[in-house]
Amino acid sequence: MTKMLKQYQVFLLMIIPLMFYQFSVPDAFAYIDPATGTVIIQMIIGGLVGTGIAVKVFWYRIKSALSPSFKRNNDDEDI
Amino acid sequence: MTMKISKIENSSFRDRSGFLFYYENEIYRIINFSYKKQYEKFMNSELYQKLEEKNLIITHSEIENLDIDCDYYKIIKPEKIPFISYPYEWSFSQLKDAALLTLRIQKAAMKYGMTLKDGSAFNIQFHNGHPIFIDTLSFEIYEEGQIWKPYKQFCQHFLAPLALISKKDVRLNLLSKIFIDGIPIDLAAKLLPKTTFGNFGLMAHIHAHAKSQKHYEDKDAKIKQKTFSKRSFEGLIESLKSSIEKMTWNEDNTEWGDYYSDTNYTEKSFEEKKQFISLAIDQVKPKLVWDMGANTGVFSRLASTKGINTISYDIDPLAVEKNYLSSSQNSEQNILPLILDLTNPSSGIGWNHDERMSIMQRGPADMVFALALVHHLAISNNVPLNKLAEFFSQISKFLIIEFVPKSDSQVKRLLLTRDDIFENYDVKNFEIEFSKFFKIINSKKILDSERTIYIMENKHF
Repeated sequence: MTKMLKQYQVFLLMIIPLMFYQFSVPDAFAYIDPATGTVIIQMIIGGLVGTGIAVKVFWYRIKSALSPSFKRNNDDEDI
Repeated sequence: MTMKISKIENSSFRDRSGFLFYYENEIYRIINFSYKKQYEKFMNSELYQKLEEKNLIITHSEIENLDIDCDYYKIIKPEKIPFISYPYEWSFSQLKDAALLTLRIQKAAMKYGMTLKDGSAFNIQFHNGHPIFIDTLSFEIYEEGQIWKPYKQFCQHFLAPLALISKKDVRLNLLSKIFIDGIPIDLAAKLLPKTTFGNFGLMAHIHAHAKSQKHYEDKDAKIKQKTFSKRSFEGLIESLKSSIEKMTWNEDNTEWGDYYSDTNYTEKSFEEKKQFISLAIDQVKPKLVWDMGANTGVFSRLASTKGINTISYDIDPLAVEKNYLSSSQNSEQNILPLILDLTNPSSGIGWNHDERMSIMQRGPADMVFALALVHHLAISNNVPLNKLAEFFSQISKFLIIEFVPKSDSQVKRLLLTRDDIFENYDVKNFEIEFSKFFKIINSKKILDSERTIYIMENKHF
């Protein structure tokens, strides 16, 4: 799994610069300026990392379903 | 009788949700009607109680019967922080802990349907030995689809300086003093070594961020609302958290030498010096001690372990880092290590020179330690003795000061590489100049050394 995550990170490193120039600006509902670049980059990073976490959670679920002894390390702070 | 607000705290004028003011030496916070909905949600959703239970946020009480001359929704009285410090005075781990606290609070807020509206490092103070969030009005109601508004500010205030210290040079943290809203992302990107392109967090949040800012600076991009899902929002926070958690400061990269064990004392004389200081503390019973040039805080702890709030300053970021890590590991409550260059101490900065206080404005301390320090200021920095006496008289009610004469090996070392233009630098002139401002209560020649230690009382306080 760790190897998979590393590969995913390498993939992200490659894709981020590409996405800059490929990023299509969606339809207008709100106007955000002057920090447009900051907004767009956080959408890209959030989207990619959020998806990564969802994949990771999905993977843990499969693993714990297949192997009842497998327990996920819960490092989440209670608050 | 209606009370007139006498002094508004100048660090709080940007936020339209309310402001801080002083009345009879107590600090209060006014909450405007525009923040009523958010404050009610913050208090009623149990978020505040949870943060308070974990000592993550400053506690406050609501004040009912204060009649003041302006419209307001509520007045609250936050617990008073004994000493305000700023990010440019913190060591690497202090800044890192402050960053992680900000993200922890953000994550907690999300659980209760709220989010932070700013990500300023000035929202954090060190209190009872650990970082604490002090801005009660920094929370707003989270709406699905919204971006994380503090993102840029968080990167500028925390991520950029931490990355620069970690990957380049500890002295770059001083840039936070010049750029009051944090180190610009493009500047951080330029200063960071190219190897950081291989680090996902820094690649994304600094390098790609800087490129994105540049790319869109002259474009009118229109962004669809509801495009930033909660999952992406949380992913962004997780990514920042993970990037910061991984950051370390490798002290081998610094120019700072290992001179901590290099002292001019025998074990016996060191103990004697400690006893003199300890006795002086017991006699004066100060509430606030400043140890100027504290190194890793050995003498500071003579005060802090007696329950006295002690600010342990040093010019060396590595000494301050070691001091903080030690106080943190031992859960020490009363010591606050800070970086301070006495030859150019923190000044009043920001709007009208008044947003962030100078060191002087945060004093005077009841008691100041100037131990093994005078020769550095007088010889290395050419400050005449009368100027030194004047300076210490402005920051201290009581002063414990050590005079280190030219015959001391440390001073001899300092004089090796410079002309001896310090003809008045002797114990007689030292006493004459300091007696203009202080009454010498007691002094003692330290055993097996050339040094003399004094306790003095300021004549003008």
